Amino acid sequence: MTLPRSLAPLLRAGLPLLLVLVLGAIFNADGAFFRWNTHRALLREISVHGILASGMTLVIIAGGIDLAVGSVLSLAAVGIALLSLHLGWSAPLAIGSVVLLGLASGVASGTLIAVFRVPAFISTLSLMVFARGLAKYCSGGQKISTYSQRADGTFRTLATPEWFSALDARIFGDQVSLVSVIFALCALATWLVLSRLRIGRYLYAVGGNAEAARLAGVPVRLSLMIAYGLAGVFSAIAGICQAAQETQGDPETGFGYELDAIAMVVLGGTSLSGGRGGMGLTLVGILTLGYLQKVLSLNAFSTEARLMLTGLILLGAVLFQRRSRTG
Amino acid sequence: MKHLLRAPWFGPLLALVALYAVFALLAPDTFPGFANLGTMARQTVIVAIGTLGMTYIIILGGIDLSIGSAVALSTVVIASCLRSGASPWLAASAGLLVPTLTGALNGGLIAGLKIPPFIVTLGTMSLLRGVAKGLSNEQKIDADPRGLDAFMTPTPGSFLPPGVWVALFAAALFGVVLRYSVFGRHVIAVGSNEQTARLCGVPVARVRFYVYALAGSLAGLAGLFEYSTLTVGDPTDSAGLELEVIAAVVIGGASLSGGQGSILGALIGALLMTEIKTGCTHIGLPNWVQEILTGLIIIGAVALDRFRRR
Amino acid sequence: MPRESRLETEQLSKSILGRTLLDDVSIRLNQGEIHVLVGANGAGKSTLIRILSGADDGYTGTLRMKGQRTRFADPRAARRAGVHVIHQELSLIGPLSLTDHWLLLEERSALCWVSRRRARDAARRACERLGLNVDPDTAIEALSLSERQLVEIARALSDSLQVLILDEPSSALSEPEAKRLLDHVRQTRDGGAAVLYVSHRMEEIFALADVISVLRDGRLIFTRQASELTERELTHAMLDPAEHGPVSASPRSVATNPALPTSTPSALRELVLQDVSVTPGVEGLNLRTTPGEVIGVAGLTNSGAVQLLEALGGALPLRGRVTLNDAPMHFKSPSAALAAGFALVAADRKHSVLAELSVAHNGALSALGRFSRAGFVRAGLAHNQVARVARALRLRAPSLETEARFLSGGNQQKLALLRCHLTSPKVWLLIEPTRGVDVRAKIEIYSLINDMAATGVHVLFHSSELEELLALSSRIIVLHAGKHVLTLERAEFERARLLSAMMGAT
Repeated sequence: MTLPRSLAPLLRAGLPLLLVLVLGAIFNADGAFFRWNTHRALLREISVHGILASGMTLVIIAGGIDLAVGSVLSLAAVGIALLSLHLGWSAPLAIGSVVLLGLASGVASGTLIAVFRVPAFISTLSLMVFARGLAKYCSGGQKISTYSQRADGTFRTLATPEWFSALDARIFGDQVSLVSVIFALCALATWLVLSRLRIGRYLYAVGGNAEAARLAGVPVRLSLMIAYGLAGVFSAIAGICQAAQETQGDPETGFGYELDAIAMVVLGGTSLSGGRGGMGLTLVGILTLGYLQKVLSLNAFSTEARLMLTGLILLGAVLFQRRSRTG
Repeated sequence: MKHLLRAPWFGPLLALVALYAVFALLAPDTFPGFANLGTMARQTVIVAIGTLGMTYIIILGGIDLSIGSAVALSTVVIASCLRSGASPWLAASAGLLVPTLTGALNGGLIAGLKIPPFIVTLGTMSLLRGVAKGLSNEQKIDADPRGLDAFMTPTPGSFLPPGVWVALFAAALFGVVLRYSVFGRHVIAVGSNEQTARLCGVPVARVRFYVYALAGSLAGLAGLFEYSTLTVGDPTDSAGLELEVIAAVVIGGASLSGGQGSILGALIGALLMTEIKTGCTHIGLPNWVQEILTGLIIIGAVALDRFRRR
Repeated sequence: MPRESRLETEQLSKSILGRTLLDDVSIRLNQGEIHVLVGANGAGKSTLIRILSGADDGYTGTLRMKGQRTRFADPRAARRAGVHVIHQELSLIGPLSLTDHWLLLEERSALCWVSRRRARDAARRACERLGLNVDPDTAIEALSLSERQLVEIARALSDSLQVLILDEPSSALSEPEAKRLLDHVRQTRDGGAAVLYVSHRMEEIFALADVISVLRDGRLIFTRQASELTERELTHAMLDPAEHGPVSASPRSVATNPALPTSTPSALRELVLQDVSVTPGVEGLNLRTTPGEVIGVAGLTNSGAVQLLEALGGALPLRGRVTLNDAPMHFKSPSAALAAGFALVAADRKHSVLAELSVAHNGALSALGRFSRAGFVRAGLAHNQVARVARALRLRAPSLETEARFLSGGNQQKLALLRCHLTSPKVWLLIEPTRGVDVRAKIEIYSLINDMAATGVHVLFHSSELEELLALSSRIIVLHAGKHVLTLERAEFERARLLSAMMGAT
């Protein structure tokens, strides 16, 4: 009995996840692995990364890459903190502006890549630097929090707007944080775009063979702009969530997040060359990486070990992809 | 004379001089003068050495995002060796050897397994940073430099430390190798058109491997000088160095599609980057301006290159 | 009872830089008819197809679609009008499934919902009509070449097909696959489409055609009903009338150019190929050559001629036994082949000359080992050697520092020959040595090839120009569909016989 075509890659991606779960069960740090709190905390921790990975999935399937997601996240975090904490803007206005900013940065990348034909990694690399610089500019290099300095040099503590703290609140009977729900929504939206909307077919086509796609009538430039634009929007949403979780806008945050996002997508089995993969696979990759880092931190591995491992895993996953394609 | 005008580094040279004049006008008390020139030269050393290897890589048609992490790792290795009592020679050698090995790792994965360079070096960038933090327990490592700081200390009576001369010598050496050696010609050929070079008998995979390994060694040298400047091993050091180095090489006239570039151009590019940084500080602009400028410069240089090739 | 015209051209002409590609061609593709287009390489077939399919807008003359004057802005416009081309490189997207391709056919907005089921059924039905039983959710890259071609045809059929153009589609297929293709082409014709089929395989042409057109040097020689044409008339039409009959014995110039530095290796003996195969392309080839022979390797596209020479040059993997002077040769790469004395000059100049590098740099590249000491190039020595050979080859360049892309085609070709010459090869492998080269340079290159042979090396060359083969070769071997079908000694040279053998006629 042959498996339906869409199930096989999912199962293949699930193997590393299974391995990690087994490892966690074995090295369970005095049962910490089996506590419900651990998993709940994990969900909260990976939500922001998961939102980034959703946007990254769109871009990678379209045959591109986005190295700027971490910096746009920091820009958004600074932006939302400034607008809501310091300037007291209302929720819809503040959130709307920041999301628009994310969209603009994504469209900027998309334009450089699709219209001016600048290679994707250079375009997004430059945007990464640019956005980070802008974040530092807007924040004066400081973390924007409820503790702010008045013009005359004295400090005061501002009130946190209700909706700001509401983002990090728990719902569903105190089990799941709102940020996790937002992550789920982003993942759902990505899945809808990729498998149910026509634009998804366009993204796969462009990633598979841009020239043949053009010949078949696919609007290649528009598709790329949409992919990068959405990635920018998701980065902004992730930044807002990050700011809410930390109750501050930190211009140094998000450093290295793009690597995690790429690793999650690649671990799930989506190919870097584009044209194949999907959100389901990325979800598996998110869980795999998330649980791996959780198991490591439970067993008191340091941050640098986790950093090393992410690098190794990324290389390993790409290698494996190559092998299974040519082998 | 016409030949000189058409050289790809001529434009950046003009920019270098012009910008100097601009900053001299805007900050007439602090910017001009030998003392500042000496400071800028000293500050350029690390980036300049980094550009040597990166020029080869970019001419080859590749990229290396791991150089910053390699430099940091090098300083950590040197400091660790010194702290455990090794001689300064041994420490310096270790500081040179380890990044050479990581460069070889990059080369092996890129040349042997044909994985795109930016993915491989993105991975090793994180990997090496992690190793550096692990070796140092995420702290700066203090140790008696035992003379290794002499590289970057200005010798009495001059503004320039020996490191500057070493950097110039290395630049001259690698410039000569690029233009006059068999290896250099092979690198240029592969970057110009890999398939054609292969048909012409150039051993493409081998050349690629050696270029990345060489870049690793040069990152080690830069790390040695960075240690000499800091006199501590710092695992968080040089984050973002890769961008400065790439920008310098691209400003200097190298094309990201490969086959073109020069060491002289890269040096001018490195000086230009330092000039911008120093100038901005002297006229009171904060750091993030340079970051934004770096991003804009890279895009500008790439766009110019695309336009030139049209 | 005249058939309805689907697509026709009136006095279609195209020239580029003084070269005439098409001259006053009026051709008519009728509904329900298979029109086979025949012509030697360079006759203008590709140009005609590009214009018909909308890939080329620079022509004079008229295009009519169903009687209406029309002009296609780009290939997409031609597709929308119902003109579909099936090229050698197919336009399907590897990772996507058949269902996806049928989804892309629908003209709807980017934001709407996708109905997989509808597209899947459409794909399945279209494929079944062609006898292709494949799950529509299979990815294209999982299908064989022959299956992919059928998918392309099925897709064209689903996309309101008016005119189907196939450009030498069977050259890479096996016998049964080719037969299946022909059946489906006939089916498509029976369904009412107009079919233009380009082929150079005699067995196919007469099995398939209702109507045959012959192109020669850009001109349409005739369009005739297939039933009224014989094989002989066809081959004769492809050749210039003054060229029929055996080749008069024109002496090959054996004069040695004294200025050409000789690179005679000592006492070369035979080059032997035994049961040599290249995948894809060549099967079980045997050949013996003696030094001083110029072997012309004749064959049409995908006959294996080009692949054979590329494999001997180390650019493709080769199976079988090759010995030179009784020593076995193994070529893992071009650099290994060069070291063994086998120098390959590729067909595409992009692959034999580095455009952005200087003449001197290009010239010395393959032989840098001879011009270096301790890893450093002795620039003066290299320069002198390059200059010397350039003079002997009469290579015209403003200076040795000029970038290769500024040289004319002929001089670039000489540059490639110069580069190989400096490696002192024992076997020259030349593919299309005078393609895109002006007349004067052509003659110079011909005498060069003669001189090379006279110095006692082996020369194997492939050309799609019959004249070139006949003028230069001391012996011609003909390949068709990967097999060696004929050898002609100089005394037996006859154009029609050569062409027929290349086309697979018995």
